[in-house]
Amino acid sequence: MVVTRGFRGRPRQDNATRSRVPPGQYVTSDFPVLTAGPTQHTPIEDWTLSMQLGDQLLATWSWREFGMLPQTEITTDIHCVTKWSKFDTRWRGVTFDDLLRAAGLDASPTAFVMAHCDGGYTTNLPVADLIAGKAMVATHFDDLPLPASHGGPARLLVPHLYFWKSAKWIRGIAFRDHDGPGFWESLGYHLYGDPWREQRYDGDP
Amino acid sequence: MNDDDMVLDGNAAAGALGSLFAFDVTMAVVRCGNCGVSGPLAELRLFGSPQAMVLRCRHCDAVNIRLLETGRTINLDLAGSARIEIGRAA
Amino acid sequence: MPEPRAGLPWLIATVAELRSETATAKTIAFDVSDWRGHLAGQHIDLRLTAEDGYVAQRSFSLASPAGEGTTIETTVQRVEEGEVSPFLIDELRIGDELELRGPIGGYFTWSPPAAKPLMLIAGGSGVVPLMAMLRTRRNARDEGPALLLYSSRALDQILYRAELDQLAAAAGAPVIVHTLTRAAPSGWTGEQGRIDRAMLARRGIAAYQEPDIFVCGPTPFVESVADHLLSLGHAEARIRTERFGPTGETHERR
Repeated sequence: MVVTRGFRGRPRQDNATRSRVPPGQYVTSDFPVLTAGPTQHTPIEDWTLSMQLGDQLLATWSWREFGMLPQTEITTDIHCVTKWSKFDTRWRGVTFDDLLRAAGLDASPTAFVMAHCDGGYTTNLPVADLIAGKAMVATHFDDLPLPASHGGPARLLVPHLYFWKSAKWIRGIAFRDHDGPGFWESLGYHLYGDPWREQRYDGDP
Repeated sequence: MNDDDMVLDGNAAAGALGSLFAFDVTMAVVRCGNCGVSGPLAELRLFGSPQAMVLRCRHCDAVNIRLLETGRTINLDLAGSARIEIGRAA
Repeated sequence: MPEPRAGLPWLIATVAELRSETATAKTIAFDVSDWRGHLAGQHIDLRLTAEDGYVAQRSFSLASPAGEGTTIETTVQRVEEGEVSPFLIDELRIGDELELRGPIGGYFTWSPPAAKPLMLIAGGSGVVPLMAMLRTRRNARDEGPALLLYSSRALDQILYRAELDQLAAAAGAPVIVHTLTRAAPSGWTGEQGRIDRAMLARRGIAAYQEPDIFVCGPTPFVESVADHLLSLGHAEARIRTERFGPTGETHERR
């Protein structure tokens, strides 16, 4: 490692509580934005969110219908695979549990899902990491409607995993029996992505 | 400033790709696997980060090339390109 | 990890000279002992490592002309709230060492002798690689028709102004056209406003002359100019572009 004399880089909170910082991360008060493609601008009147099992449509909501589902607010830390962590981010949306209920499902029909998004982005998740309050489809950040650049009108939020799993511009949840790689996972990001075990890449233990 | 201002082009990917190839990648001509339009790699739209690059077709936005640098490997995905032509040195 | 057989190793560069170009831009000269030479238009990657291991990497165009030994130059424009440019401009001292990789890029390059007239179109710091081209052309005593159309916000933001004035006055000179998009001083005889189709039609080299064209600057600038050039009849294959912008992921202040 060749250290560059005098280089500090973007402000990083050195005095952050160690226990809140996953290994290899730096804390920022900025909002890091990593994008795999052009920002999607979906008009609200065209927006729907759907749940599917194979060819079968289990449920679908228009923006208006989605807005009438139970709203939950959370404050949580987020961790980007680019090594930036941001503490105490505030979100509002519909939890995955409430989506299952609204779809008339007592439980998830499968163990895994693939999230499908405008622009073609996908990411895979175990259902176990979405239920019991662990995840939501978020529509508001810091009390304001989610801007398109941050995934608005709605993004998946799964804060206990690396933030690439919190898929922007989510439009569909496809239930699957098997776990298979989404967009970044198929290139070599870790299939699961636990920041506390530093599971950034395929092959990380 | 709208967020599209942040997009660079394939020229910026040349350093990372250059560590993989003996030839100059910015001169390579890429044919999009989705729409069939060909153009210099340098003209592809670049997304992602220096470690995780996504190069998209300027005409249809389809992914043509992806590159990921992990601690152990450099992963290259050319599946979105129908063909990549590299000119021989004169 | 096995050493790559081909490609681009990281080299150690030593800061040899620091030169203010404007209040917000500085030229940095590096001595790179393993430098194998470069073409005008190519760039380098700089890699900076903080003591805690944090790494930032950015690309910078070479300003120095092709083929002048092991000292190379780049001009850095301060990016507001940037991570790297304020460090390079404010902190760097002569003798400091940085990691550097290059030269990179063969697409956006020009070498003499010129087969065709040369038209260079710059937006802001996009002038840096084009300056390398003009310096290379001067060193080669190339006297083919050449034009630089250079857009800056204000007079005091123009990079290399004195050198461009000198170049314009010499034999075989390129035509240098400045346009200012914000305040122009009284008595200003250059162009004003953004480079639009009308300005390109008025001041640019005509399409029938089939100039080689290089456009460099922020992405919206480059895309707009390229569209205008196509509409004026220039062939797509004759237009080479390089888009500048903050590299890597963006960080918004929140």
